[in-house]
Amino acid sequence: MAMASASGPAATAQVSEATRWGQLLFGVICMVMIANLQYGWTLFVNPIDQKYHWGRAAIQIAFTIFVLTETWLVPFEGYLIDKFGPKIMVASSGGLVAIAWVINSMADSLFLLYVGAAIGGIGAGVIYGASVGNALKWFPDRRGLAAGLTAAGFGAGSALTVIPIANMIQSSGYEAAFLWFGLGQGIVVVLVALLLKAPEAGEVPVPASPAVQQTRRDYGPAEAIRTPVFWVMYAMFVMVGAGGLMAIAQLAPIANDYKIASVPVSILGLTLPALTFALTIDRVLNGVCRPFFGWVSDLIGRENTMFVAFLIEGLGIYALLYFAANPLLFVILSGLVFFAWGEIYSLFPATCTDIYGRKFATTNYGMLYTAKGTASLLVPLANVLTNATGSWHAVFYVAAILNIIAAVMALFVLKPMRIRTMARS
Amino acid sequence: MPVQLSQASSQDWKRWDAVFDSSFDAVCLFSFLGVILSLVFLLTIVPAFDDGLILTF
Repeated sequence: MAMASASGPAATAQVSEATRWGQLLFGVICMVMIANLQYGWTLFVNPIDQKYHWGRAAIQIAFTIFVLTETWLVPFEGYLIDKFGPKIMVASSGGLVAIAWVINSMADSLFLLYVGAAIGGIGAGVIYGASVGNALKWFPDRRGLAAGLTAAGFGAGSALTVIPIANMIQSSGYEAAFLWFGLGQGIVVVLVALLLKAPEAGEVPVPASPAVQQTRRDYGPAEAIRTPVFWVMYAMFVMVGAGGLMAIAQLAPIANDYKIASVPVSILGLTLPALTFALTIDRVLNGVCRPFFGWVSDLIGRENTMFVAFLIEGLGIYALLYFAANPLLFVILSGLVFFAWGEIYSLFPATCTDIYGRKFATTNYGMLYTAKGTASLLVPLANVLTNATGSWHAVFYVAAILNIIAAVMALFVLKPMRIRTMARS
Repeated sequence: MPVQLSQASSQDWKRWDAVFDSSFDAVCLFSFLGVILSLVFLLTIVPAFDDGLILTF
């Protein structure tokens, strides 16, 4: 078990491009393998309820436990990953995600279901943190693209297995789906983890004239959270994350209010009911936008890309307020909102590592990543606004304003603060 | 053989000593506070507004 550090004492020869792209691919595979734990969960809720009659709300507490452990423990897990390297941590977490779904397959009480969720959250958090952290360390020259491709594996990975899981639940029961997919996902993660490694000093290329400014020293996590720029990024992550989630959660009520949910819409030869169409392109665009905006940020800078993406998101949400009655515009604008939302998972990790360096990239981004957990806590509060005002309009105004504020902050708060912090380092 | 066991054990302890530093304390505190505050929020505030503790992603 070697201490994996990007700034180890002995410099090593630079590795081939194939080696580091291979490392990126291994991370993406691990992310695809854990995507079902979050995005496939919804398929299991009704079958579990039909068997045990625990109620959907009680069953969904398992998902809440999963989200809490998957997000809030990443700083702690990330620190161990930065210290001991990704191999041992991801391999053991592959075991955890398998055990979690095996427990789910046998759970005959809510307590066991919650234990499975907690174990799954811990395992998924390690694998998520290690995969993104490794991408950030291997690609200092294309950090946005690398983080985006890895995050896309999580966002879109479940698209590959949703239909097989749904079919297995139908034919063999949800228990079999939990058992066999759990074991399969876990085994793949364990095997791929054996190939993972963090770069040694000198193994990665140092861009001669990087388009994106990078720090010259490595910040520890205790140092990083003492810098104001960290909390500016945290606030922006929460604003964009919560704003997007609030808007997305209101898509079905909007479609039902305007009575367009089942109106068929045709785009590029594909015809689906408007709401189904909107929710389907969610998965695709939510995955595609991560590497796309990450790549753009490698070329034009992180804050400039944030400004464009968050502004598109804010204006898209605002436009949806006025044009949602038209089924075609409803689908197109909701697609735009999804497209401009998911990039937070590539732009923030890249920016965080640009500022705080590679050595503690996993830990420092792990702390920033908890903004996802904070954002999700704010979403139920959107119901307060909906109930108080009697419609979803106020929620949309809030979501649009949060995104526009974040866009302005990217250029006029984050950028100058980031430059000052880097100049001091 | 007892000597080898002793050496391995000593190295393991050194490795863990390297883990338990001020940064480790910071991330533990960060994670611990996050979990506790989230639980308090979910158990006390959210049920007043929402049916069940349902998060959306």
